[in-house]
Amino acid sequence: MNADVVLSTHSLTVDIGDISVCDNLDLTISPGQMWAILGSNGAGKTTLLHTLAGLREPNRGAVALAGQAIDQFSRRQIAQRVGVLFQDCNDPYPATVLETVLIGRHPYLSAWQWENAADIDLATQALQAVGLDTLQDRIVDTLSGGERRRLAMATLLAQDPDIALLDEPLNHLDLRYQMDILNLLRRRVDSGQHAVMIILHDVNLAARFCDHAVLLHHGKVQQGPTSGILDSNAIEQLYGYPVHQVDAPGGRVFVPT
Amino acid sequence: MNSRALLPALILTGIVSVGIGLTQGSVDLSLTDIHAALLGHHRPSLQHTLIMDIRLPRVLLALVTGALLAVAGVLMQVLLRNPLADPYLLGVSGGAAVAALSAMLLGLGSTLVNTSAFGGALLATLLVFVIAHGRGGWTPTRLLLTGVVLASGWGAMISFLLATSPNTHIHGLLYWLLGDLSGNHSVLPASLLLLLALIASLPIARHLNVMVQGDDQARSLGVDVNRLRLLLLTIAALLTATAVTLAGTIGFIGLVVPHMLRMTGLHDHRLLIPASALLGGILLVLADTLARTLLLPAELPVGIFTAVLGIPLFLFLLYRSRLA
Repeated sequence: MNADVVLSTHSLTVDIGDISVCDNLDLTISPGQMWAILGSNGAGKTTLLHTLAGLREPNRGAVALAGQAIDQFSRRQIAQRVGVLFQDCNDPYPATVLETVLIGRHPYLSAWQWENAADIDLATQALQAVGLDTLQDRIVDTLSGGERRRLAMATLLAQDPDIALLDEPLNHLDLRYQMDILNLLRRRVDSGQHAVMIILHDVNLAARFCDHAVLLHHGKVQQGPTSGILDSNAIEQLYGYPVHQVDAPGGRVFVPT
Repeated sequence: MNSRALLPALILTGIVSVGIGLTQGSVDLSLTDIHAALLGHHRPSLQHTLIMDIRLPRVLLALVTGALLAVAGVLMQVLLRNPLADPYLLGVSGGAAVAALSAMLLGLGSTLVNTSAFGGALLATLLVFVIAHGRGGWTPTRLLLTGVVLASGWGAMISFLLATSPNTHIHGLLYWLLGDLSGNHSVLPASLLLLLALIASLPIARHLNVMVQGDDQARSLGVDVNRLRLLLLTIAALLTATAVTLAGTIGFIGLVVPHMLRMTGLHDHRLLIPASALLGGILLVLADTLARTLLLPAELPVGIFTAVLGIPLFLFLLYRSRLA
């Protein structure tokens, strides 16, 4: 086991049918890093994220957790290390907010075990962190889209994985909650114990909050520190639309022309 | 209602419903008669024979069959992630009916008819398993489509058997299709199976809370989805096959009981499964009591009364529910 690396890939090749997402990708994610995955629609961002989470077999190459091949771990062990926030959630039998957050504790409980006071504490703290603690007893399908998104975030926090893989977590969120969630993730990463990888469509937020990025462009992948690879040329190439780089008080801002 | 208080309340209601089932019938009996018969007093007497040999086995049969159907219903609704799922949706009862009706038409005895029904139910499930897997593995949609298509095939075969049967057989065949608890079955094997299924479902019940969120979500939270799905379908098929063998096809219980409990605020499958067993049993005992007492001395198909009791209760809960 290698404590300096949370998740890594070795010669990872991922295709969707005839479309290449990445080819021979070597990626190393360490605790204390926050990565952005950027790419145009259909570039395969979600597919790559699911492959990193062990939910999809790569076409070639391997994913490793702390230096050990992911297929050597049981599902439960993976779930204790890797958490995923999915793009959509669709629950035909909605439970209460608290019950839903508690499923984040699932990987830590044995077959006959019930959630104990510590699990409920963790779940309550996670709800407080996303501002949903007053809605614990509400049935999930009475929540708004943004509240449901924050609930998914709280479930991920209750899961407390070494690395959180988030698929467009800012969908449906207003400006304040977008900032709250990104600040929350940044603080989690800055504690030095955890890593985060996040699919974003807003390059400005990626530049501001993430220290590293993976740019997916028709099978060609660029990766590295955001300060080095995220510039107006790279963004223009990535999305096929020209942008200007402007220096602003919060950092660099990319403005579409 | 507090979800943990619901189980004791259901146990109490279960005892009351069994009491109603035992006292009501062609001869009304008092609780004192029931008490005496259960303790073995006044033997032999008409009351004793009536209670111990006729009513008690029937009430217990209804209790166990209702429980089997309701638990199978919960499992199928999770397996298929579909609120409209019931134990019969994938054609399990259709396979059982075709096999049982064929056995009846061949003039086989009741033991062979029952064995055929059980075999037919399991064969129907196996077909769904194998065909739905295909290249893509089991997904709720594939299971649902395969099951529904095969069920319509079984339905066509039932129609064919009914259309070509001699008139003398039709009444017996129809009763079997509409559900009938008058068969003289030993309830012990079914009770043991129910108990085993409840014990087996306890350690997986928490997985079901996760599985309803979707396959990928469940996998990312540590659930081996394919193994769980296989286990669910196997348990649900065994429960349904047993229920169909005991009492034919009784609709409504497996579909509605899990929803009723969800509407009272019970979402955790660790409580929902045992609560469904209790409520399913209670509803079927009460429905059967109505079926055999309302138009004495005639006995009506119990399926009519599962609907009579279930529909208003379901609609009332739906009206009150926040979901509505």
